[in-house]
Amino acid sequence: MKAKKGVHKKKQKNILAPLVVLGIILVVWEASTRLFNIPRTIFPPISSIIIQTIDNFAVNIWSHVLVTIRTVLLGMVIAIPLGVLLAAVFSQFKVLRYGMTPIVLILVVTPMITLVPLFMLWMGFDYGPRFIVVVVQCTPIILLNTLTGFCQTSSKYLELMKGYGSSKLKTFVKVVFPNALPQVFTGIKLGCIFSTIATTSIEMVAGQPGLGYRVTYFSGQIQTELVFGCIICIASIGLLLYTLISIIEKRVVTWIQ
Amino acid sequence: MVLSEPKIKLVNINKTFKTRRKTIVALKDINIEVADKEFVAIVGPSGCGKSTIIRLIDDIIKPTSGEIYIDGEKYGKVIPQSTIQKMGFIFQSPNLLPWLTVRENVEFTLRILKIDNQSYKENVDKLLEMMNLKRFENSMPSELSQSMLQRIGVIRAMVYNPEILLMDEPYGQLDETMREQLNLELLDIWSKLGQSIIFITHNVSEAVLLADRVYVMSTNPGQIIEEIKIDIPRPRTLDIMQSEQFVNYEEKIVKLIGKVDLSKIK
Amino acid sequence: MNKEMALRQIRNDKILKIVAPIAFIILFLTAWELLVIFNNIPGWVIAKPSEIFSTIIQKFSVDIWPDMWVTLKTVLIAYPIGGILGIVIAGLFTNSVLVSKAISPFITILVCTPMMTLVPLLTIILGFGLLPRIIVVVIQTMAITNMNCSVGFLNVPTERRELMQSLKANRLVTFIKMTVPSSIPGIFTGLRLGFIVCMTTCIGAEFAGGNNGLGSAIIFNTQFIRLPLAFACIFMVAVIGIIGYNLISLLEHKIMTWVE
Repeated sequence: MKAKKGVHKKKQKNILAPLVVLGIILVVWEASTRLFNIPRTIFPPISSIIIQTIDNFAVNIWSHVLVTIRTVLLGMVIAIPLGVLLAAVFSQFKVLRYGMTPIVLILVVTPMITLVPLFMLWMGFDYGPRFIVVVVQCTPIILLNTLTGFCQTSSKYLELMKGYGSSKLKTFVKVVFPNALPQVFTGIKLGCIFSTIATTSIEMVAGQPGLGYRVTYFSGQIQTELVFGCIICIASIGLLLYTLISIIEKRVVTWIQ
Repeated sequence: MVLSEPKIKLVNINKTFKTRRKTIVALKDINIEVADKEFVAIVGPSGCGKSTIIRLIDDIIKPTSGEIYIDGEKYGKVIPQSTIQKMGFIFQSPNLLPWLTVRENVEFTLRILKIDNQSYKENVDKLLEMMNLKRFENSMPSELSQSMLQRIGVIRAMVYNPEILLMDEPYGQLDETMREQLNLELLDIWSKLGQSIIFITHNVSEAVLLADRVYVMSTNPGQIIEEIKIDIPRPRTLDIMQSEQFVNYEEKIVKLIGKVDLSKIK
Repeated sequence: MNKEMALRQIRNDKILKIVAPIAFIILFLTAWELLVIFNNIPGWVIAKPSEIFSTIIQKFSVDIWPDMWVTLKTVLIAYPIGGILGIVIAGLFTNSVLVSKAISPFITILVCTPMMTLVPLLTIILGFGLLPRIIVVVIQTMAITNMNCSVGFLNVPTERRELMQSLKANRLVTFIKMTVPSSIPGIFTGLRLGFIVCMTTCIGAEFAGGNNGLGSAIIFNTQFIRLPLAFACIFMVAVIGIIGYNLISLLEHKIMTWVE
């Protein structure tokens, strides 16, 4: 009981410090934009950003938020199992492992969003298939990290399982996979970061609908408050996803501090 | 009892650590004195705060209450450089920087304290030769064994001629034979250079072999139970560890520590 | 006998590590070429590898290099600035555990925000040059490098910190002589991820605004159904990425001469 209370206190301190900083940032933002008369077209005060965004939210923004969320989530929901599964398969066959690791690395280092114009050519401008870009951009990094994790199992654990006559599948499920979980989560978190970048890039190129498109649109209309409003929405989606994964990670990977 | 002004004096030292979960009283009413050129050991079970004491002396941690005196001068908020240079700290693990050679590691303290002039540099050679480590001066730490690294750690702390050595269970991670060899080596160095030494250990035999006086501590909270003078003549060799006098001291200390409630040890 | 077998195994592994990927790539390209030919896939859907490579050779200097140079310039300017800023700012903020706890959520926010969203606005304010892209790539690179370096800087072994404390070293000396060398692996993880993010944001920025650079060229060529050129540009992006990443890994190997 006492331990729980203590942890609660730590969480409070962890939230308080960033909140203080947030407060400082907001105050400085508001004050400096007003004091120095920075034109609202370049850098509006935070208050007008919030007001304008809320005003326009239902009409101009909400539907696009939903579209973006859908693309991001659908993409990640496919990319994560795909990356993990492929990594599992590759890790079992030496030829695949040695052959595919450099190739996956190339796919990680090359921005897959370069394929966006081609995807638009093949799939059209409809927002339905856009999650495929997210899948293509995020799977390689998830795959790479997971594969590294699977191949890093310490030989002493493998010997332990061999000593008990354990089958390959059992060894994988009971030792290799749990041991790799920290790396897997690292890969998934990186995937989250890239998911918003991928979604935004296709929305900016392909146009309607989506928050990326709205950013381009409002920029053209020099409605800077709404541009910032949309950017904040995109950031929120990315941040929420990242935080969600981090929370799951803390629950699952309990043995690393 | 120390007659002249002691080299190190701790008066009514208390240290409380406040973590997120609870308040830990690490040290309670600690009073310790070390005379000039005296070898003092502190023994006690794990977690009794022995390591905290020497960190307080080296100003790595500040006490919650109480005073620390070095050569009669009390610690204020800021410790002068001259006082820091009087003390050498030797850690539990060798703690050498892996990207520097042995020689560069030994000179590291000189560089940080900004005293790398010629006379100290000569000290590096002298100490390396004295401990038979000169031939390793250009090796990297990764090439050497734990015991050698620990000896280099000792040299690193001694290279600027500190009058006080603070040693935190330096040989605790080595095997027994190695430990005994290094104990003798330490006694040899001490007889030649005459520092005041505070030596932390949980090994009672080591404490009795090395020290003039032994402070015995209990845990939770960390307190001094008793101060025992070791009246075995010097120079001491490994043979005297079999003597009746030695064994008596050992038994006495073990009994004192044994009085502590085991359930209180963390 | 066992040692001989083990050595042979290691040598075989080394060969396999080079041959296998090359074999896979050749297989992939051959399958691609044959699929296009046998299925009579028209040139406005996809280009054949043979066409792509002949396009690269023939049209490099005129149609590819100008845009490639623009992208290269952006990366060459923005990446070092972003990387160094990330390390330095991480060093500044990790001086106090409280400060780094307070700031780290905001670094995470910066990392999770696609900075390319600022490009349209910045282009309107600053014009069509490279500056909007450079600013955006610098911020995105800085954020992720900072995130990784902070983890490294905060995880220095306690006894090393105490060594510096016992010598009363000031913060700058401790940072340069102890924290940074101890955190080289973390720093390079940050730099490698920073590079990947730099490439992605650069292309994204070129998508978002402006009419030069490989990103724009890919859009342009696809719109005009000059698919071999479009693929060639994608290939060139990959080339920049691979060379850059390997340079960073090389640098890391050189610095890590003393692996713990």
